[in-house]
Amino acid sequence: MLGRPRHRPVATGALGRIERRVPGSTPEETAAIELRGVRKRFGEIVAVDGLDLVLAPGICLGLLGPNGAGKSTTMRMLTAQTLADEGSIRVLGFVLPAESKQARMAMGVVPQLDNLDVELTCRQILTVFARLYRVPRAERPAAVDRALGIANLRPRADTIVRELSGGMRRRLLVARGLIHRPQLVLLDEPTVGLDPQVRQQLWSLIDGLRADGVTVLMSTHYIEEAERLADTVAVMSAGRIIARGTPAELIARHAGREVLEGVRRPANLEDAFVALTGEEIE
Amino acid sequence: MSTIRSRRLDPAALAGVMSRDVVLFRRYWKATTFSSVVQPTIYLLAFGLGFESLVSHVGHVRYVECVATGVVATAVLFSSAFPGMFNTFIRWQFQRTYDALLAAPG
Repeated sequence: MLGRPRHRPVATGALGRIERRVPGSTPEETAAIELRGVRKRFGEIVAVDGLDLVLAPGICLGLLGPNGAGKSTTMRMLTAQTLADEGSIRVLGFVLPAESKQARMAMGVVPQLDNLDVELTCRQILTVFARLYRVPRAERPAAVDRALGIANLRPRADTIVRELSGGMRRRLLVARGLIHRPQLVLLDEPTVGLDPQVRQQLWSLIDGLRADGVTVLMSTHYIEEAERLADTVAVMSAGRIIARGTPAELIARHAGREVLEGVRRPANLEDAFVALTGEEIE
Repeated sequence: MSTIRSRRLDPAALAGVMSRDVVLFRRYWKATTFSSVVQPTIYLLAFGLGFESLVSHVGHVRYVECVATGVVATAVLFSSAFPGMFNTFIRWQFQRTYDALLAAPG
């Protein structure tokens, strides 16, 4: 869909001062994301409690957990918008927070909450962010057009964001995160609060990213979303990852083959999640 | 591994944020200019010329000159301070615009 090679250089843009990292040979250097012993407190509350997570390039990892599990805090730490109290974080080979600018240059972020400029048009927003992400001037119109195409928003390119529907705004958020062809995309609860039809549209969009080999870290509390999109699922509870594997592995390991619920039915990821966390989820 | 160098104050980041502000200014300059000009004009007519018949001088300065200076000063103050405060607060707290900018390289 996006039509680009699997491991592309970081777009340096007109500045050309920020050079790309060449993938190394050790797991730490080749990992797209690496968190070791990461801890984050907000006063008395421990949001992330000694988190260890390594994500290989080209993988779509679903970070599954109930509200308050620490998913969004983890996402914010990966962009250095929140700083970890302890532990080490590497993103695409860049050490955070020291090299956060370089890391952000190569990643796209789709936030949980809509933070679009409501007074601008879709095209204007994408152009501003193309500039912020150092897309070279000559390439900006094509990049904006490509992003509009990904989000299926070409007919609404010159519509002010305030006049878009919720689903269109979500798609625009995704397009904004992809304007610079990132190597890594962070999706923080990408479909929360959306109707099933829009959710399907976004899933197709994320499928396109996966097909292109973009590394995706997606936090969600929708079981079906994790099951449908993620190559690997990490179950997060109380700031820690308590289980990790493919959806099938997690089901087999933690929920068994069948569940008795009035009648016998095959176990699913939700059963594994409940068995792991003791919490119900949407 | 390549060497990495990046400046804290990056012209490209400044240009990016400025381009956004320019787009917004182009959209709203007529409304903001109108309100910034009309309000002090009304003040000047009402309090300056209107009261001039009652108060001719303040100290050794003509009353209308005294009022005009104050009106210009307050117009400059309010037309710069209020948009700065309100827009910043709304974009920070409600629209989360700065959150979006901070997730970009900056």
